[in-house]
Amino acid sequence: MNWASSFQAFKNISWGSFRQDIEDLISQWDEVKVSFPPKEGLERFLLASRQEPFLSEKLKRIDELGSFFERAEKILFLYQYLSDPRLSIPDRTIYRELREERDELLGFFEKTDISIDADSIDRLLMRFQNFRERYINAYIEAHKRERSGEQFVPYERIRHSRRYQLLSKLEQIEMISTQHNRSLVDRLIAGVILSRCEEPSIDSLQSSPICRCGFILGEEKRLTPLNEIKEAIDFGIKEALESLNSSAYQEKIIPYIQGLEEVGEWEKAKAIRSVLSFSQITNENQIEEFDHALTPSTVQAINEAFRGRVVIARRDLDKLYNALIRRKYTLPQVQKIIKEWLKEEEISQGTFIHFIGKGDLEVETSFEKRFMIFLEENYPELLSLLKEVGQSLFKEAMLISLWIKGHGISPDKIYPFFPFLRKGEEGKGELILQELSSLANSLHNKEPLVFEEIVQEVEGKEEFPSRLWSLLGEEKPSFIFLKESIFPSILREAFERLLAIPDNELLSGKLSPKEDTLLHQRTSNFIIKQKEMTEALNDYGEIIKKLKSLKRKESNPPKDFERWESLYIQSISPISFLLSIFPKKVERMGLALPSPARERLLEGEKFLQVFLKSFSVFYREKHSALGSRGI
Amino acid sequence: MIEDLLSLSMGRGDILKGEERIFILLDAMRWDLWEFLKERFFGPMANQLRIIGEGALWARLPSTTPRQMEIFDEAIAKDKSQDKNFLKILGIDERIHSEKGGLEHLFRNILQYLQLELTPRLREIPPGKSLIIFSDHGFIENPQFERSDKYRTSRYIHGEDSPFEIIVPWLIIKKL
Repeated sequence: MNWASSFQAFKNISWGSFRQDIEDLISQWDEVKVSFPPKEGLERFLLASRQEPFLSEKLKRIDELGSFFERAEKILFLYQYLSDPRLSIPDRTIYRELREERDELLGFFEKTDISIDADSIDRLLMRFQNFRERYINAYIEAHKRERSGEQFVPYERIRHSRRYQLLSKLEQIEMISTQHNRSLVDRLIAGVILSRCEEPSIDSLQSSPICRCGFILGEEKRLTPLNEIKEAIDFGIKEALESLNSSAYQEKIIPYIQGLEEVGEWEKAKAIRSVLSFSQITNENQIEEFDHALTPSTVQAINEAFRGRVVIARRDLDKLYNALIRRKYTLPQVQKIIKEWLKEEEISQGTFIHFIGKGDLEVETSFEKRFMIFLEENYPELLSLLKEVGQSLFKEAMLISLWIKGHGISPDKIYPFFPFLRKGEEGKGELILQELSSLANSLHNKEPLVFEEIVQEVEGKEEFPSRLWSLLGEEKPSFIFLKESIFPSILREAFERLLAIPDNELLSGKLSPKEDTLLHQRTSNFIIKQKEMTEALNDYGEIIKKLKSLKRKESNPPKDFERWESLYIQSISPISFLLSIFPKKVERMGLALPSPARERLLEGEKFLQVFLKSFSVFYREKHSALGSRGI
Repeated sequence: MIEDLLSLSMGRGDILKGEERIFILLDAMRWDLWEFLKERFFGPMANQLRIIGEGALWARLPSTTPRQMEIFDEAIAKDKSQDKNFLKILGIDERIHSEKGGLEHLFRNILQYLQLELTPRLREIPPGKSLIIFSDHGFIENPQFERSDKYRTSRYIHGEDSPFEIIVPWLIIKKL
């Protein structure tokens, strides 16, 4: 009784009278004492019961109380389900009966003296069962209407549309900034798609009044209209085209094209001209033609045109914000402040202004906080997931979601590490992964230091690197090395494995890290490390190649100027340079050269000396034969 | 040979006969240094310069600047066919004689020097002009060099007959 009386549901049960009944019954037993003979004891007990006229009723009530306690937990669940604030039943005609039934069921607990007799409790439980069944039907129907179904399909298709792809390509032109950019479009799409939830199970609704997606009966979420997103894409393309055709851009691009034509790079010049010929796009044919014209190499060429030719002025928006926020100014005062902030006199018409901000945050705020701010501002839809699974697992999943893309690993392989991705309806795991990888990519681009900090934090976990290697399976170290773009530890280990393989044929070819235009997830520090290692591996490959070439010529050295020139340029000069720098590079990376590599270097030095002697003999002989003036 | 520079460039279709040319001597640029600079110095300037031709010159013995210039000056004096501007960049050789560090360190120092010294000069050259950049000799690591005696011995020297000192590059560049 002490346990039960603490619940709100049972607050109106007259626990006092039950306690009294029990005390009365206990007092009957007080008449029975071990000091009396059996007969006397029984006589005293019967005498006492005769003095208690309601003894049978009290016994019956206590029996009922026992039976009530057997079902107390069910009743408590019923009360919690009905009083759950998430069990919202809107005040609409179609839900009126449901509402009234819920109120009546809750009314049972509001009565001043709750009846606990078996019949009342049976009726209560039966009514609740009926209510819950009707409620679940109504909920599933509304949920289906709002959160699942075909309405989401067109949104998913947008990302594969030619216009979206075109906007993505235009974003790679570094000097073009548009108000309607791809991040905006991605956010709009994600806002819709992440609200999708496939049908919740009846079992789950029997224990909780709402689905885990959080949908509440009667809720009507306004999805961003499809046309609004399509319009944003079109505006983005239009704005990019306007920029490209503006005089500020043309002034830089046209002379560059002319320069290309002057040096005979007609194809490149033609490709850029072809892109510039589009001043506006009005129909699908033009979209297709423009998309076709805007190849990755043309984008690169346009970017080249601006490098070294434009002046970029940086203006910190935080400074302007601090000067204006929570203050009152007249219009001329505001104009003066903006003018001073812009430093207009220092900017010419052709200058591009690069707006920066959050300067204070960058310096003073911890990486942790900056990550949370970034998430809240850019991917608020993922906040609930972070709260659900915790920061540590969330960060791991975020990095791995991007990492598997680079290595071509199927998402199915990572589900065992992140069970939360498999919870709920089919297909949502994939969607969450997509959003997580988009977050990782965006974080890398906009907050590379925070991204690197998270990489370091996650990599430092004891079992994490071995988990990554288990996902890589039997992949060759050279492929792993080239594809790696996030984790330096993977890069180092792949590098060491590669150098330890004697006579590796792969090293005879040029290594070049995978460049995927869709994945720009390498941070600048990572690029430096990878570049350094790639260079060292390529140097080693070159040494092997040049050594082979010198060996072939050992018994038959060149006998004329042309052949010596060719041998020097092709083999002697490069191998000498590489023999000098390669061991230093490996040393700088904190690694020791494996013995096959050391032997190769010694062999290279030996051959070099042989050819230097031959050259000296050849040139002395020719030079003296020709005298002091000319050959 | 160095005197062949004049006829080499004349024969190329990229430079018109009679067109004014600018000769730039990068004193002591040996072949691997040129390869290094091609990537690190000229590569990033690809939007301003295009290398439209390159080849090798053989230095005379001794492989020193005065000896090569003697020959070159004579050739220039004889050739009246074109206007010539001549610019000498001597800082590479200076660094070669003073550097005590490794080859990579030397090359990086030279790169930094050229970025400060040569880049502004190249930027000033008007678009469409042709430049002939060449070296006069290379250098070799002194086999007698001892780290312990680094203040008295030069680490890099030239004047002898190794291919590193003798075979050096020339290139024709067009300003975009």
